[in-house]
Amino acid sequence: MKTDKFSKIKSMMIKEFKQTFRDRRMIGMLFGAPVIMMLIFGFAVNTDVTRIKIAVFDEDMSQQSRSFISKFISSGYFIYEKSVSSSDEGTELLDLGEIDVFMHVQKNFGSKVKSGKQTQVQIVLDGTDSSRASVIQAYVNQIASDYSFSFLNDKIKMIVLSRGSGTMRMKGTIQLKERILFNPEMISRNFYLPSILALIVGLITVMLTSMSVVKERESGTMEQIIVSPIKSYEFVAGKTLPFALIGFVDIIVVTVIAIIGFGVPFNGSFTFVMICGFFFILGMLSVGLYISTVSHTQQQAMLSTFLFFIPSILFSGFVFPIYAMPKIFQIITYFNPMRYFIYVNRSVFLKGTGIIELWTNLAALMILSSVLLFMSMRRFNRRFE
Amino acid sequence: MKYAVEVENLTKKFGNFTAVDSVNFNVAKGEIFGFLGPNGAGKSTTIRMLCGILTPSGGSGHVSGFDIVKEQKEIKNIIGYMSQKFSLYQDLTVRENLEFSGSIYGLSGSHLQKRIKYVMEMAEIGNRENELVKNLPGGIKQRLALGGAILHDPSILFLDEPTSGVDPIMRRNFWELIYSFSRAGKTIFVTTHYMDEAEHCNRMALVIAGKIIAMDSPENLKNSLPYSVYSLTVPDFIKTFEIVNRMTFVFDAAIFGSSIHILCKKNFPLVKELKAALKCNNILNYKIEKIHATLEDVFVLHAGGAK
Repeated sequence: MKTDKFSKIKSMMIKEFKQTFRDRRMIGMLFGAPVIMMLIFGFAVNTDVTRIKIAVFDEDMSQQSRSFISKFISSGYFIYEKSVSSSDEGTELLDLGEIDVFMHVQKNFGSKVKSGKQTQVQIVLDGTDSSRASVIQAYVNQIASDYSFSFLNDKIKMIVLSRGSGTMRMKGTIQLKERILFNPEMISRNFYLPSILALIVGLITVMLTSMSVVKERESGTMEQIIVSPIKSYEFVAGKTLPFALIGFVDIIVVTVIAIIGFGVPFNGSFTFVMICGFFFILGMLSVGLYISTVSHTQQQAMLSTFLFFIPSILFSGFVFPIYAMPKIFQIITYFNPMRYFIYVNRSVFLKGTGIIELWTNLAALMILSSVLLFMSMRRFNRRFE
Repeated sequence: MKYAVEVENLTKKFGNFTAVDSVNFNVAKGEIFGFLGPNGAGKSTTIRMLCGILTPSGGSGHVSGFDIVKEQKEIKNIIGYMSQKFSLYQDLTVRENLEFSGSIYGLSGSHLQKRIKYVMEMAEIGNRENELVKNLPGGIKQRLALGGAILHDPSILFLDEPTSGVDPIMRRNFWELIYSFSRAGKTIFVTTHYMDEAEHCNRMALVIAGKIIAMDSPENLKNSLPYSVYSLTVPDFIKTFEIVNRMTFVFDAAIFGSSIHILCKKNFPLVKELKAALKCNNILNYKIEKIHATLEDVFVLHAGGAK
């Protein structure tokens, strides 16, 4: 019987597709997981610091103190929670977690400001969530300096006008004009959704591959395959290609949902995402294959998948910035394919950069996935032959 | 090449445990060769080494003249293997399973369809070819698994406990299939722990704890027993068994169902001696007769040794 070279791979693939789409759990994983993750990170997870609850102890009750406080409320970031009548009361509210910031405006604030003397305002912050606290601190600084700057400006103008020399030029001051590129509104969703792509595709390909190989071993069908003349590469190709295809479909689906459903900007080349995705998927399939050689049951495969996945998310820069990690952990991240694919996705989506800027990431993905493929094939062959 | 399977000092160790302990045997072409032994005797391990699933720790083996370590590729095309575990895909239909099995052996087109048709007739699938395998009754599943193993028309069949968990009628049916393969010139290597099944074999090996302790045709094995076998039927057989077992002229005694099989030297006047001995023990209500040795007697003798 003469058959073409790929017929065994093809029939493996057909079988794999049939089995996958007949298994309800698999369907749930394939379609449920991406949708749920998109919803969670699109709607629920929001690291934008807004709705800061503030309580104020206004000892001064002057026009100046009121206008100072109102600057906070009108900024849009703060919510005026309560007016308190002592510092202790404010601290207690902080302790209870009812407010994020407590502001104490001292007596004579207004008169000191008017008379041009220096005055102080006390801000007490809840530092439990350090990153949120530092953002709040920055807001407070910004608003306070804006206030004193505009106050100063008015004052100088008044002096100038009162001297009757309207043509006199004021001394120059430096004013910061901020312009934020790539994610101008600084929406955290724009930052997370492109990274979700890597998470979903990675999870699905690793888990599906490892579980479906282990399933064959568990049910005894693996022995039948081993005694047949099918070669190990044919088996692996037939086994993993369907999941690679599913991974590609997931990339497309997630990208479309991110752009259309959540308005995430997409400025770069989709082809480049797919090319990087190809090598990322190759690496993840290899990891799945490797896991299948160390697991005896599907539960073990599932657990091993998570054992691999949690550190690879933590070391990817998905949530915790890599630059903030100690040097040794930063080095570890270089061996994490997820790191590169997430970086590529963020850059392509938001910055619109391509191969010229990101070629090192593509190269790293290629090297890592080749090494992973080599390692897992070697281990798999030892168990297959 | 005279033999379909030749094995020399084949050994398999798992750590400190020796599962197969330097066994030697040959299987002639077209023969039905049985491997009889209790669970854990090393039957499956032997078959798995011959099929290339396990690598031997020592010794050598040849299947159809090919070395089981170095020439696995050649072996794979000419053998069929049915494992102890049911090995079809439960979530695929009968036809899908067979199409897949066939295609990984390189079958395709009309040849594959012809073979599938043959296997489905053999397994008596009827009109259930598009049903998921998990919904089929046990007996049909078993036949289908056998069908999967012969789909590519192998010349040597390795069947690892093919009838475990199948009812007696199904087992008989199954053996008729095996006979038909044998008539068609195929060599069959089958493991079992059913004594009655072993009787179906042309030749068989008794395996205990990784060693072959006897090997011949079932008839010869029974005839070679240097003892006469008697069956003693008695109401209180447990108590009687203990008494009989203590008698010096009884070489071995074993309980078979509700009767006792007694082995004694050939030509020993057992009936007379036993009558006297039982009388001393006040056992009067019994029946004793000389019977033909069964494989079970052979097995029990070899397995337990003399008392």
